[in-house]
Amino acid sequence: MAKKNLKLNIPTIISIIIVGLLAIALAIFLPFYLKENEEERTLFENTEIKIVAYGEEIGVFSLEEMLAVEGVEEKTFGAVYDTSSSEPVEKSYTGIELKALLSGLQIDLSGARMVTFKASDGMNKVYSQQDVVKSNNVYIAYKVEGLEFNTGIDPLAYMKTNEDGGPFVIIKVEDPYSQNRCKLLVEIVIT
Amino acid sequence: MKKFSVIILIVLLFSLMTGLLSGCQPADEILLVIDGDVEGNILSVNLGEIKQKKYSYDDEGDTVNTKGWHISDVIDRSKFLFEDSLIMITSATDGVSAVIEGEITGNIYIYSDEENTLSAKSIDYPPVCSIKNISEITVIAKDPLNVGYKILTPTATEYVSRGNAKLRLYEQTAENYSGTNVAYKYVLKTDLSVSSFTQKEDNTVYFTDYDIETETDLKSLSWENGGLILNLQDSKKEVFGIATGTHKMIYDAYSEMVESIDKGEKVMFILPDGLSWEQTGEFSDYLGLFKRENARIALSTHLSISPVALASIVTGEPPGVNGVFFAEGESRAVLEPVVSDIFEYAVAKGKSVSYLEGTGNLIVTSVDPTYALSDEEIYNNAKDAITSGKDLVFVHFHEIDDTNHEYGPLASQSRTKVLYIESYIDYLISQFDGKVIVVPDHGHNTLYDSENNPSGKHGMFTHYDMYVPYYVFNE
Repeated sequence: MAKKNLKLNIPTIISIIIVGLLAIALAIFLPFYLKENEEERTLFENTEIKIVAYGEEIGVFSLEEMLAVEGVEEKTFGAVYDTSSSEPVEKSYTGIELKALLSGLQIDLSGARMVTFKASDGMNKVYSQQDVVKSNNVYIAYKVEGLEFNTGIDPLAYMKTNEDGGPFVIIKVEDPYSQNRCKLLVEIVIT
Repeated sequence: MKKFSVIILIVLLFSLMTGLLSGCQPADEILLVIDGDVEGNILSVNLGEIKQKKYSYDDEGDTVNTKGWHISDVIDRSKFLFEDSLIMITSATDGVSAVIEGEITGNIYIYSDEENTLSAKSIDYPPVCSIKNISEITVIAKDPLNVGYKILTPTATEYVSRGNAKLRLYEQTAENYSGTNVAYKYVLKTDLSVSSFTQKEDNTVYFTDYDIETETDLKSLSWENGGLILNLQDSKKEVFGIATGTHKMIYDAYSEMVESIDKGEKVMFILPDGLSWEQTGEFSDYLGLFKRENARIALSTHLSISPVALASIVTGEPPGVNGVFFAEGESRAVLEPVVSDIFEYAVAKGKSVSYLEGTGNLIVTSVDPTYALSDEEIYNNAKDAITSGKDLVFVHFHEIDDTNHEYGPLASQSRTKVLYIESYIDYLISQFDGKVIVVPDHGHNTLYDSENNPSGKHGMFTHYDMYVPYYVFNE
């Protein structure tokens, strides 16, 4: 059997080198890319909100579980977004009304004095009972202008559409300067 | 033939690569710094990108023909902040400088000598302009407006543009003419102290890294990399601004609290958020406890905003040390100081602590605050803390600041709120068996909207938001 003489011309060699280099680059960077995406996905999927009422832990809820509570529905609402670096602007948010969630969980707010919102970075915000029982006022928001909030605190968030502090941000619609929001929400305590 | 083609192709590829690589190499860089009152505060001009011009001059009877960069072509690379400006050419060797009008009316050339230093050759300006070994060219605005460094006194905010700040470190020693071209000779002052610079006493210097240095009257300033530098014993720090007239800082309260705790005495710290030194003057006819004669004047932090100032009070350290600071306009996260706080100190000494906040925390502290929905509720919580015999009671009232923001610090609504909080504090002091320190976190500026409605703002490094009253009762 005659041996086939395999000859490579210069363009073929250059093409093989380029493809080889690309393959090496892909092999190096693909694991980093996948790991980064995996971390982000995990961060969102694992985020849950603990609810404590009058000293008793009611439960820990994911977004899916909160939406499954009777009487809870996804709502779109407008609220003013204002920072020290930007002019106030009315934005459209998506979230669930806190009053409906607490009512669906059989938590009676009539005897409550205040509701404390705790964030994963150590921030605490307190709203009055009156703020929370008012209709269309206090929401657990998870989207702004149809986009999920970015996770973490971003110093340049005011320049971006999807803001920071996600996945969950407590927003009081009546808040004129948006300074009473609680980003990175992880716990709600009713006292 | 095939072999020959491959060799040609390799040679061509090699030539192409060499050509591309050489094209990526930057042209020879000959950098000259222009600073002062120019856009961006400082820039490096690459003279290598500017065409040199031929010129000649007389050197002891011999005509020398050479070439260099005309000073107009060089300074045209910068953008003056103010049209009417001076140019200062400074020597790196001894600081000797020549100051001329910014509008160039004659010929000065910059040349690079055999040691690669840049020097100036004056052709039809006075010889003082022939500066050897130039460190920088500084643009100095003649009538700058609200730019540069701020020097604060309790009653005024003075702006010193960057160019004029440098000029303040120099003194004029000669005025020379060559035809109609005038040049002034300047040399470095012998007294470069901060008090000489500000012409004030009790100088506190704020740095760009958010650190603060008090008692700087005799410390020296210098001009480096386009900015004012304070020379400390072991380091140099870039100056942000200077406040004068007091060495008392709001975070001195920390050491006063420590002193009481160490003595085994109870201590209460009360923070009336946003109460300004200006308000204690404007409302003096109405005030009792908050009268100026009961207070010392103290300085806030930069930025003069609540989380930053509060962190400095509870840690006793300036923002640059405790780690709680923000760039202007930056989103304000809730940060945890990197040093221990007064609550940790008190607890470690076996003391009972009550930290009373409003509707949220501004920083992360070692002890969780007790929250309240209003100042009235905070007041009630404070009374409870006193009754229960707490050793350290830390009370943060918020509504003076809220009212200042909404109506302006000098509005009647703000005055009413100040009097309310004053009455709360008056009662708390009467009930407390120990030292009471009352120190606001910051003051307030009055701003006006297009319809002339006032509102309040702070964090601007002005005398309005930086000076606050500092009270100590039951000492």
